[in-house]
Amino acid sequence: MKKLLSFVAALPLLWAGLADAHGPTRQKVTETIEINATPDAVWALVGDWANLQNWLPVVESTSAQGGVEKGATRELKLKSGGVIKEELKSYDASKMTMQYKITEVDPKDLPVANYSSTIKVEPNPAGGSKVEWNGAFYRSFMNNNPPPEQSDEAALKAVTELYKEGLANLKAVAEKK
Amino acid sequence: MPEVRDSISRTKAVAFTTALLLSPVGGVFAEPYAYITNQKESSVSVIDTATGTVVKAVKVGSEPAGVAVSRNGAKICVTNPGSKDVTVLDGRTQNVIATLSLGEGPLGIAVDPAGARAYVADWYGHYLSVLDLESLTVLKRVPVGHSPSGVVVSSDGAKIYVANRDDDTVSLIDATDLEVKKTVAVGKHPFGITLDAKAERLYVANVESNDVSVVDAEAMTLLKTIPVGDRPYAVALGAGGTRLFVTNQYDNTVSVIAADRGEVTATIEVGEYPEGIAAHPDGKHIYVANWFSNSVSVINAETLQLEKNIPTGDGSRAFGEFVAQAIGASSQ
Repeated sequence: MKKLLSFVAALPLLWAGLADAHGPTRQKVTETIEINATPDAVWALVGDWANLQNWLPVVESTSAQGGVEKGATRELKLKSGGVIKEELKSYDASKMTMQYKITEVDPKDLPVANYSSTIKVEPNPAGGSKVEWNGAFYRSFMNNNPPPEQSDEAALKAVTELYKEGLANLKAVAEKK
Repeated sequence: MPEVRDSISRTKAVAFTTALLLSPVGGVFAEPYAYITNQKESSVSVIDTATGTVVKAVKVGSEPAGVAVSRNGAKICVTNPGSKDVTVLDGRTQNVIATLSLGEGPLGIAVDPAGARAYVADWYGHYLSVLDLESLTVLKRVPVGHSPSGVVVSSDGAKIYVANRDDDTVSLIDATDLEVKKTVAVGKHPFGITLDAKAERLYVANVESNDVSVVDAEAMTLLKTIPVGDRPYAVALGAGGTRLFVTNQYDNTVSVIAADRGEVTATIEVGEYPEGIAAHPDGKHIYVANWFSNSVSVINAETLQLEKNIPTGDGSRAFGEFVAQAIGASSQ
């Protein structure tokens, strides 16, 4: 503490007044759900890169190119009218997992930047399946002092809600079949 | 041997060995520790590399990112961009010695070989802070490029290199007069950097252009650009400097480059969102911090096999030279 004090005394002007500045830091969200359906049945939905609208409620339609190869792309038309563009990073049907990233998004549709995501289906030891969906991203506003709708909190909230709603609907759709 | 050793007995062991043997080999009585910054829980996980387990978690400042260990392992410096300060830990007790408010966004950090100074890149202030680790005061702020990130010091301590992420350049600073001498253009958004033992080649991971720049560290000219995986973050030399290891954040992999040929020869799967990477002083192991998986992957630098996965804390980042070379070895 003594050392801290002497340092502060020596350089008071260099840090005073800068205390408000706070830049973006990378955020992460992980959501999981247990589904009473076989992993194969759940992966048939989740692994269908070209038809996200089959289980993710906010999506109206998907237009995909490039199959399920690395570098494949899809354009998601949202029910709200917006568009999100994504690119497939890796796809492994045997492990029932894929990774993708967002290449273009309007902050009003999802207030994130540099978003990458993994979704994975596993057998649930208790029976049925377990799905894990995770994302790493920054808030959309990359400078200091973001407007509230583009803050770290707003980005976290939007992605968490998207995952929760998406997985809940995935469960409903998979269990209906 | 218990995993968590009494710090007093460790200190005594060090003193004993020093007095009786004057041994230059630190490894005979102390295994190097690896210090992993956990951004999401504001802590540092201390890994005993001999057992591959976390022996201690130390609370530091907010959102710790950068880390640098002095060559003799005596001091560990951690940057905390969230609280805009630097935490200094004692390498023997792993306790916090000091916390220093520092600039606007301390991020990348390197400690000189003598353990006398820490060089801290300030992401928002666009300068390099030169910290005297004895007096814990700032000696100078050296203006560099925009959003400086990775920092490395030559093994003789004479030169400091800083990656300027938003300028797509690397600056060379003379450690004597602390002035920028040369600047070289590299790939897009350079972040992690490392230097070979002779200070001849500088390697730079370029996050946006998905490649590694190889730079003549003396002339500061670009020699080669090597494509790697998606969003390369940091680099480390291993296997006696013959191989360069690169973390690819979006691919969950490490690219292995043959240093003499400048080509990727292998790709190793690690945890999710690999970030910080550092070589163990045994020359045989590379440690990788996985930000999303909250773990550290240990790679064998010779066989290129993944040997171990060590659970750490939330948001393991470990940006910098996070493995101590030895405890007490060069203080004798």
